[in-house]
Amino acid sequence: MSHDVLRSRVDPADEVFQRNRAENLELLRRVDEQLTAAHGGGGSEKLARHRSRGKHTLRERIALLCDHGSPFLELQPLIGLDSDFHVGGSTIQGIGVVSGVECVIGGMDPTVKGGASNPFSVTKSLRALQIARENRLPTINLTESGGADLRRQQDVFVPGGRTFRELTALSKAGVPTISLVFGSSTAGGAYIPGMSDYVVLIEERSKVFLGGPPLVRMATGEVASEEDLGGAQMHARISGLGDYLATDELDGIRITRQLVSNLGWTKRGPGPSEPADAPLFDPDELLGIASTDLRETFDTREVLARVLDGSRFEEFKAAYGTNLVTGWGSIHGFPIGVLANNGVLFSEESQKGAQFIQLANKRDRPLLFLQNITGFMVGTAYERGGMIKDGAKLINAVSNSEVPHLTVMTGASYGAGNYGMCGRAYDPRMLFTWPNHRIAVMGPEQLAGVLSIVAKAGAENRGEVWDEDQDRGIREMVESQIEAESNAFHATGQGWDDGIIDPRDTRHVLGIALSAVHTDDVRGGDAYGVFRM
Amino acid sequence: MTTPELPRAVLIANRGEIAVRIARTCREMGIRSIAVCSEVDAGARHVLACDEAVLLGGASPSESYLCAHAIIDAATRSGADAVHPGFGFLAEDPRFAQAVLDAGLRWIGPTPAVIAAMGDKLEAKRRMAAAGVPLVPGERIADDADPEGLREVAERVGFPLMVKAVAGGGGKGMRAVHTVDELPDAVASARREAEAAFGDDRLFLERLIARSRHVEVQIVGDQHGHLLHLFERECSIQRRHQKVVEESPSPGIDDEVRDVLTGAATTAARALGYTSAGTVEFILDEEVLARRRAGEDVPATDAVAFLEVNTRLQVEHPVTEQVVGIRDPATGMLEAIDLVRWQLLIAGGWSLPVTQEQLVTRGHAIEVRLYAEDVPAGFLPATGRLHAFEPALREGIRWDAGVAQGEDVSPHYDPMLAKVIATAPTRTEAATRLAAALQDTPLVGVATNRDLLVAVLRDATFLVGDTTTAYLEERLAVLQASGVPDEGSRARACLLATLHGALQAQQGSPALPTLPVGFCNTGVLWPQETFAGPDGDDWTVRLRGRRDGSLEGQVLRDVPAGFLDADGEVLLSARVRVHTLDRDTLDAEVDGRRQRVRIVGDPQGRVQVLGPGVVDLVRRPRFPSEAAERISGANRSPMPGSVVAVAVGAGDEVAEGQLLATVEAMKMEHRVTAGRAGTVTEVRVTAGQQVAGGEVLVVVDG
Repeated sequence: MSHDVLRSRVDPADEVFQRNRAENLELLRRVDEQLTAAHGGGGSEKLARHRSRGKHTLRERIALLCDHGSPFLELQPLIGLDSDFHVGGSTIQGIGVVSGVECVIGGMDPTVKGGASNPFSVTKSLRALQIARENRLPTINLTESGGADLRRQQDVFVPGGRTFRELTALSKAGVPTISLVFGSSTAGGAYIPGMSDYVVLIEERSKVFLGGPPLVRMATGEVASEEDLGGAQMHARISGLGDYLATDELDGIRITRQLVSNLGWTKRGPGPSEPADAPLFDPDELLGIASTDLRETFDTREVLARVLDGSRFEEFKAAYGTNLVTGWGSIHGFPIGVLANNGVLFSEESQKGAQFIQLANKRDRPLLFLQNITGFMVGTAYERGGMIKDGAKLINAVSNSEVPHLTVMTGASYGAGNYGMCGRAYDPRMLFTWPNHRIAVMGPEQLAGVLSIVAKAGAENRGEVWDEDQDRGIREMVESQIEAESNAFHATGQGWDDGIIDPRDTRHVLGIALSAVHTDDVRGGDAYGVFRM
Repeated sequence: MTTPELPRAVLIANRGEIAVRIARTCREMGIRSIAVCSEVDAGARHVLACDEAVLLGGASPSESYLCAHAIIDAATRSGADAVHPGFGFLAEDPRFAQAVLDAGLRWIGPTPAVIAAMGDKLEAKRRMAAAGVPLVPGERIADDADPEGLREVAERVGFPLMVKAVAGGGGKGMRAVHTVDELPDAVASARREAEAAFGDDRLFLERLIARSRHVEVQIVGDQHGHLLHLFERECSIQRRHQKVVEESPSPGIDDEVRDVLTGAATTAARALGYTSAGTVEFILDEEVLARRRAGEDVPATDAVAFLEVNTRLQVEHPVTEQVVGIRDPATGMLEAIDLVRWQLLIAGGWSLPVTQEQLVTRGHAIEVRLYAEDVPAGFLPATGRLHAFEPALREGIRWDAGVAQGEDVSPHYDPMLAKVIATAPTRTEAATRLAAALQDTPLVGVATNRDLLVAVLRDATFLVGDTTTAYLEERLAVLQASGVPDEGSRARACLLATLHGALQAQQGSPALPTLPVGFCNTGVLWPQETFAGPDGDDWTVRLRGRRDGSLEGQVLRDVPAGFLDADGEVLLSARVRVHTLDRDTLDAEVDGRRQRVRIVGDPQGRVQVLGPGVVDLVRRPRFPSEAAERISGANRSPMPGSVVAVAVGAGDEVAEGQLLATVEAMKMEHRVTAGRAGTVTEVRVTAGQQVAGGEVLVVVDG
């Protein structure tokens, strides 16, 4: 493919660039702080106790399972941020390469509350299973969990049940599921091995039972040991729940790697077909480009120049609807179509986007959405011009497009623009967030202003005296509340994305995501809802 | 001058590098070459190097390369009209030479009569004495000599002395004895070894010259009475009486001594009516040589004593080929010589076309023998598969190799992998060149003496030419220590090996090959690998990618494999940048120092990092298999071989160091002694039994 090569006008000496860079670095420092907390598990004391039993940590188990030197894309690392729960949901989930096969790998962290799941653990585990199902990724569960956090059982019990349904759905779809049980896997947790295609148990370590000795004694009066109820030997020799019996943790990991290697797994989608050369421009400059003050716009082509292979980009309809940049390029060799915001969406942009999405579906080409959107244009001229009809065309196309979508939040995501640009509710295969990102129905200032205007009108209707000072105070309060609710940390804590990423990693993160996406067929569709003309 | 009648087809009754080397000359001359091989050698280099091959029989030499009738049968069946014996095996067996002639084939070598006379070391001495060649005192010992008889002979010969096999050669059946107490044991074991190696257990004693050099003269004679010498080779550097380093010219002699040597050699050869290529070996008294070097007026003849005549091509013949040339009297140009070519021509009745005056030497050549052996374990022969062996081919370096990458080094034959010969205008340049070539040669799978050879070639004592036959014994500790990489180089090698392994795994992976090695968006994981440290500790390498494309590498002591964030002593912390990776060659910068290194390994986890120097590492397995049988008090066979004798029985009380069993391998006897005092609880083997390397022989409960 021959493509135009993007040029850059970025000046690293520029004051705005410098400010963005400093502020983004500060945001990333905060991200790192939280990652350290998440990866630290239950703290040094718990860790020491875990180690004293000769056990590896969850991270180490994953590292030993993955191929030497292989990349690992961790998903939703900071879910639960700013909640009462351990940041990260006491679980690690991610995509790694095991014996040359990309797999979804995950497990509960046994050093945090014995690996018990809380509501965020459930959300995160289910999200990983969804990614596995949508992309046909073999799934390996590194099981060691005391089940639900009983104090939060009401938040976990009902949604958590879906885990087992997802596992069997994967199996039904022919996607292998493996459970490697490192410790106790009790009650509901027992169904993780129960519902998996392959179960690897470790002698003297794995304990799988519906009810442990105390519960059995309560229920039936039977006195039984853990080993009798659900030891690895028992399951391997008597119940038949265990398919492979390992002598220790490392042996279990070795067996699992061998198992994956012998699956004969082949990806359905095409492999990378373009040169995967690095961009011509330094991705480090993305920190100076990504505005931390969303009133300051930036040219999304500067981002593309630092994300696409060789900075090559064939721009489509460059002169039309210029606030939405569309075109073709590739990332780590995978050809993609790009829709990237360069300002508010007008009718032209919406129609251009809808057309481009249809073209990508004809080409069977995955789509990358780079969001930096304050919404669809408002005002009489635009309403009269059919803004709603045209915005609907874009949302219709995004909703019914069948090629895989990936979304990166590079700045603002306000209003229906979030929908038209494949926000979370539109099920992109994966969605990542830059730390400067803001997300809300509208900007905090606008939202506070709207509330104020509405309140003032109400007060006037009721004939009340309007207190400007009080209004200013309320506006400030609302603004700061919305500001707090709409920043990237809050968004990622809520699980609205698959993780905050360092903007400099965008190309590599998308490379892993695209490769995962190509594990299934990449096929466009040709059926849409009625386009309102 | 007669027209030589060249052989049409030569059967090479040998294996390994010498068979390959003979086949090369045959091919150059347009003569068909026929290999013989044992069952385990079916894919060996010498078989591939020849035009045809005939299978002789089983792996053991007695069923194959020593099986004279099978070889002659192979020659007649394959249409050969000549047999070249190489060296070793049957090369110096006059009965075999006679049998070849009796079968109507030509024998590439001296006459059976000469071989027989020189094969009997005592008879050889008698004949040399008669010809006026100086000798070392020596005397035969009776086959049934009692200790008293032995002592009498020994005292006549004088201590220190050597016990030698009458049929000896290649260091087999030789023992140095310094006191009379050591004599009975030395005689008994030399007798066993001689019997096994030559089928002849006759022994004699010979005075051991305390400080001596081993210098020999290459001779060539044709069937028309022309006899030439091709100057000398010095082969003083030996271990277990086997040569390790050979060179020409000798750095220890002056022209006058050289004249005495070459004169004595030609006198000896003439007295024998010698035909074909051969070597007259001498012992030179280093004390006399040193006094001469110091300017003292000591007769050159005082330094020289005849040792023996080898009636064959020598292992070290290439150094002669590298330095000796024929000067064309008209043009002054030098023509290279090929001793195998001369042997073939002489066998065909050719008369040597040059005069002694036309033979000249130029430059210096040094040969080293690269052995598969475990030097620290006392030069024990090593076996295994050569996973990597890529001789560094370059100007001035000749490789005569008998094995190739991927082949097995079996316990059945001589453990020499190759001879490496460097030629240069001066001795120092040759040594430097040779050391560099050795160090640039990937060599993984079996233990070798490479590090020792490099250490010798760079040793100041060697470089000034101060080399006696005791050199290796005296310098071994220093040489071995000099070859050990320091902590910094070892840590750097671990770092590069980890990086190389991770890069190769990743770039060769079907998934995500273009991502940076070990990329992780959250830093939750990173590539990590653990190596065995020099003291059996764990050296763990961690690599973390940086956004500028470089990597932060750390080498930590005492961090066991698999533990991601355990702390340990930091041995190295460096910024690494990869420029290119081309298979096993990594071009990378470590803290700003850019170097090209080669990294090779085998499936057992051995890793070799080449450049600068060689660092051998052992990767700790990520998933250790079942631990090897651990028995407290186990005494194991140091190598594969057969048990000659078991000295203890169950229930015996043994002292530390007491002999438990004797294992014979590669014609050498190895004594297995008690690792500690205690009671023998188990004897697992009996005499005659084959054992694997590391197999438990005797268990002693302490």
